Amino acid sequence: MDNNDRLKEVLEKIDNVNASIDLEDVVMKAIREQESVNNRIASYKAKGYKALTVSVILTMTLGILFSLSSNVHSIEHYIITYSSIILVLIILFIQLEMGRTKIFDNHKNITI
Amino acid sequence: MDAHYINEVLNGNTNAFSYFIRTYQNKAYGVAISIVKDEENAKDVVQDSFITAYSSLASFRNDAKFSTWFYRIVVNTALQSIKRKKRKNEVLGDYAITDNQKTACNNAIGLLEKQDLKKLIKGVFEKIPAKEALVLQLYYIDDQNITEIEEITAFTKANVKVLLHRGRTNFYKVLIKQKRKEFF
Repeated sequence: MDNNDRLKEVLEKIDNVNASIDLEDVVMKAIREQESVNNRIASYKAKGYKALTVSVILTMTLGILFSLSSNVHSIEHYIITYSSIILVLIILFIQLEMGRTKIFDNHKNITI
Repeated sequence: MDAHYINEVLNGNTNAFSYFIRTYQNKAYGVAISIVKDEENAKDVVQDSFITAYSSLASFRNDAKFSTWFYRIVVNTALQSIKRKKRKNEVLGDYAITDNQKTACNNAIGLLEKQDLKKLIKGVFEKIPAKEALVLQLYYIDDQNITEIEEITAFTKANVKVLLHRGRTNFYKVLIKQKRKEFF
């Protein structure tokens, strides 16, 4: 019989030369962690898109408000201006909270 | 069977991936260790390969065999790993092995008990260059044919045959070296 075939025949007895391993728990844990990171990234992306949409709407609103005729210095004009500034600050705050900056929590921790 | 679990994983059932780990981890470990020659590195390679396979499962074509696709990931990961840790191969000498020597080796190892044979083959594979040991592992231990080895390794058919020939020669050389020491 050809030596190559003979070697094949001899080695057919074994299907594995190494001791068995069990990586199931380790791999599944790593996969779950990766999934969790991917989910968090997807959630941040979704929040980012929302924040971007809100910012675009805000910019457009402010653009429209400030492009109104400035020769009318009425009380309404000042109301609009200051309301806009307050609106900007509120939206900035919402965006920071959505980004988990936790301004209030940090502030509480500092004061305690 | 594989196709069923692939669909399960793709439909969001992460736990279904355990099936692939249980089924392929030992074979993948054999492939990895034949290349990296180190147990801990081989385990890392297998772990990384499973994570890569899980992340890329959506790109797997159902007309291919999962095992072939997965072993290719293992081979690539292992080859990248040894590229980083340049390992020196043992010098096996440039001399020919006669047919009589081959026959003597085959007869001697044919008489060994399964456990002793496993230990011997493991020791021999550790001393053979990575690509040759890989091809020997796939051909003789995992029973893959030349075409499957070609798909798994991305080597050409001619290259697989050359590696198989060289691997066999080095296999006998290492065996003859060890013959003087312990097994025969």
